Amino acid sequence: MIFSSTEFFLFFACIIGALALTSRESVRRNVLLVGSYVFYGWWDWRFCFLILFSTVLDYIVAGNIHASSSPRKRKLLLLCSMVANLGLLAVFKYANFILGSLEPLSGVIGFHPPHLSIVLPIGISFYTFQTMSYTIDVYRGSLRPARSFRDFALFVAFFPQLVAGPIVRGSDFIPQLEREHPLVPENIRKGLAQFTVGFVKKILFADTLAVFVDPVFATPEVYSSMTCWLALVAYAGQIYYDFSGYSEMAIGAGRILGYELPTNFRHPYNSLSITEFWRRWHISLSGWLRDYLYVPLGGNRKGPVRTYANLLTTMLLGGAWHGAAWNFVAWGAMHGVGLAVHKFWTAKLRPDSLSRFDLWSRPLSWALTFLFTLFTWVFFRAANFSVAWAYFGRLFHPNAAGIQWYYVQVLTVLTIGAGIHIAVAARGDRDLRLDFSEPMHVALAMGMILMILLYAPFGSNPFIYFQF
Amino acid sequence: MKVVGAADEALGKLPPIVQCSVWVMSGLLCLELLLRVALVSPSAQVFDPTYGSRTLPHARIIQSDEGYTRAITNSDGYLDDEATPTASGRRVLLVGDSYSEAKQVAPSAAFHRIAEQYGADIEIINTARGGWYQPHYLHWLGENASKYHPDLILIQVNDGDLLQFSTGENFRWTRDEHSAWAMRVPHPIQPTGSSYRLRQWMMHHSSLFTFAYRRAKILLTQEEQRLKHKFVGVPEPSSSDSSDAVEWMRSLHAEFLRLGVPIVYLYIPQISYDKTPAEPKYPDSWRMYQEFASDTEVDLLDATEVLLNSFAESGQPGHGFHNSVMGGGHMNARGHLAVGRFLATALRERLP
Repeated sequence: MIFSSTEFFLFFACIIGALALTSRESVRRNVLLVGSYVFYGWWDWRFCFLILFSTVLDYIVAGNIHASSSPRKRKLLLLCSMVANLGLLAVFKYANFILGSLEPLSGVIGFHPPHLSIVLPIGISFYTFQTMSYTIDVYRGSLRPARSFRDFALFVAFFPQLVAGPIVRGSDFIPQLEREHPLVPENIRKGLAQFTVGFVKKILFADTLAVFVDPVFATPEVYSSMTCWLALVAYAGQIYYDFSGYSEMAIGAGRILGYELPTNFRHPYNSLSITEFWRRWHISLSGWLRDYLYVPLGGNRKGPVRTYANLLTTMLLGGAWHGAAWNFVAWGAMHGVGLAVHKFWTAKLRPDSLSRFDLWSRPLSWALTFLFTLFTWVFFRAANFSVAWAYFGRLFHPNAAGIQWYYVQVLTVLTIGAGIHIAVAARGDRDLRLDFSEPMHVALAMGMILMILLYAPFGSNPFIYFQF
Repeated sequence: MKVVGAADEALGKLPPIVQCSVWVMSGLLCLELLLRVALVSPSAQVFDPTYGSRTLPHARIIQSDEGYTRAITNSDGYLDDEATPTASGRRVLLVGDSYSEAKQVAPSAAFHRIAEQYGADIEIINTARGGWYQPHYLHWLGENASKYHPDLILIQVNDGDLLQFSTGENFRWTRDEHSAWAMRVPHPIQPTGSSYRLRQWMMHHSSLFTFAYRRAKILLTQEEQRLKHKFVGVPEPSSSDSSDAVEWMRSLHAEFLRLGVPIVYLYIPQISYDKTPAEPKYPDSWRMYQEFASDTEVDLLDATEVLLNSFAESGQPGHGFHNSVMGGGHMNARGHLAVGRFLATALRERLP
C-alpha cells in the first residue's frame, strides 16, 4: 500500500476512526499494530511472517542482553542478532547479487550458479536496520528494552515509516511509548499539513519528473546531449522529491497519530560540500551509518589514513544498502572518495587560505558539490554500467545529435524547485513559511488538491526507495 | 505576496467560513480565467443519438494536453475549413481518427492541409473524429458521403484500429453465427435527469469544470482498473489474430466499395524512435495492413517509410511534443509535414 493510493486514504481513515472511538492507550496501540501489519501485508501477506520473525528475534535477544551480566554472553547474543538480521538481508536482497558476482570466478571451474527466484520484501533494509540498532543500543546500555512485546512490535512495524523510512532508532521511538497518544486536533492539523506537502512533492513533482527521466535513462543513446543533461537534473529532482515526499508523508502521518519521527531531509541541494550533503540527505541513514558503522570502525580517531579508509568502507556498504548491484556499490564508493577528498582538503587547506577566493568560494563550492552529486546519480539511476557509460558519452559528447525533448512540465517543476531552494538559502536555511490565516491555509490546501487533480501524471508510481 | 497578505488581513474580520469561501471562489475564478484564455476550452461536445457525441459547429477549441491548438470547428463541427470546391473540382473526403483530426497541431500544420498546399487544386474535406475506427467510418459514410460529392475517399487507419476491432464495444463490425458480417450500431440513449443536465451545463460553460471532470474520470477509471487487477488479477492480453484482422478488413472494404467512390487507405503507424535504427512500433499490425493490401488489391498509402526517412534526415521524431512524451502519442508538425507531402504526391497521381 503506498501513501499516494486510494486504498491508503481509506485505510488511514479507518485507523483514525478506530482510534477516535477509544480512549484507552492499549487499545490504540493494538489498533496501530494490527493496522501496521495490514498495511504491510497488503503488498504480500506472507512477508508479515518475516517481519514478525525479525521482531521476535530482536525482542528476545535484546531482553536477554539487558538481563545478562556476562560480557561474553551479551556479545554472543548480539552476534546472534547481527548474523540473523544480516542473514535475512543476504538471502532476500543479496543472494543473486553474490552468486552473479561469483560467476566469473566459479565459471573457471565450470560451475555456473543458478539464479534464485527470490522476491525482495518491501522495506526489509529499513526494518532490519531498525531492529539492529535497537539491539546494539541495548547492548551498549544506551537504551532500555521496550516494556512489552506489543510496544516493540509497534516500533518495528509502525506503518508510517515501515517500508521506506525514515529509519527510526529505538532511542527515538521507544521513549515515546512511555506516554499516551490520544488524537489531538493540533497534531492532526500539523500532520495533515506536512502530509499534504509530501503528497504534493511526490505526486506533482517527482511523478512529473519521472515521465521524462524514465525514457531518457532507458535509451540515452538516442537523445541529444542537452536532453540528457536536463534528464540528469530532472532525476536529481525526482529522487529528492520522491524520497523527501515520502518522508514528509511518513512524518505527517506519524504526527497525526501522535508520534514524532525524525527529519530525513534538509534541502540537500543547497550543500556547499559533500560532507554537508550527507548531513542533509537521508539523514536517518547517514546517522545510522555513522553511529553503527563508521564510529565502531574507528571513525577519525586512528589517523588520517584509517579515517579515509573508514569513510570509504562506510559509503561502500551504504551504497550496497541501496541495492544489490555493482552500480550502487560504485555510487557509494564515489561518495566515499568524495567525503575522503573533502576531509583531506579541509584538513590541509586552512580556511584563512581561502580568503582570496571569498567572492567565488561559496558559488564554486555549491557548483562542485552539485555537479559531483549529479554525476554520481548517473550510476544510481542507470540500469547497469554500460547504460551509465552510454549516458556519460551523451553528456560529454560535444556534438551529440539525437532527439531533442525539453519537457515543459519538467522545466516548470525544476524552476519551482530551484526557486524554493534559493529562497530557503536566502532565508538562512530556514523553511519557507506562509503566515496566512487559517481560512487562507484551508483554501490553499484545497487549491493544492485541485492542482493535483488537474496536473498530476496519473498512474500509480511506486516510491523509488521501496525497492531498497 | 504582500497583496495576498493585505487581502488576508482585510478579510480577517469576517467569519472563518466566509473568509475561506472568498479565497476558494477567488482562486477558482482566477483558474477558470487562466484555463479559458490559454489552456482549455469548455466542452463543445453534445449528445448524438447514433455516435454518442459530436462536436458543436463553430465551437472554439483550445487544447494543451498534447501539443497545443487553438481552432474553431466548421459548420459541420469538424476541425477543418468550410468546404469550398476548387476550380478543378477534385475533392477528397478524409475519414479517420484523432491522427487525422489533428487536435495537437495548428490547423494549418495538419497533414491534410499540407497535402492541399502541395497537391495541385485538390480539396480535402477532413471529417475525422478522435476515437473512431473503421465501422464508424462505414456507417458515417453510408449516411453522409453523398453530401460531399467526393472524387475519392481517403480512409486513415492505424495500429490502434486492430485493438478496437477486438475490444471495441460501441460500433462493431461483427460476424454472426452464420459467418455473415454485420454492423452493430448501439444507438445510445440520452441520459436524462437533473445531475446529467447540470453536468452538461457546467461543461459547456466552464473550462475548469471540463478539465477537472475529464481528469477525474480518467483517474477513477485507472483506479478501478488497478484495484480490479489487484483483487481479480490481470486479464490475459487480448490477442488480435492477424488472419482474422485481414478478413475483417476485407469484409469492410467490400462494404466501402458499395459507396461507388474510389477508396484509398492511408496507414499512419506508430514508430519506435528509441530503437536503433527506428522501426514500426507494431510490426504485426504493419504486416497485416500490407497483407491486406496485397491480398485484396486495395490502394494503401503506407506512411511508415516517410516517417522513418524524416527521422533519419532530421534526427527528430514525427510523433510527440514537448508537453507530452516525445516520440509517442500523436504526430507533431514534423510528422504531419512528412505525411502531408507524401499524401500530396500520391493524390496527384490518383487524381490527375
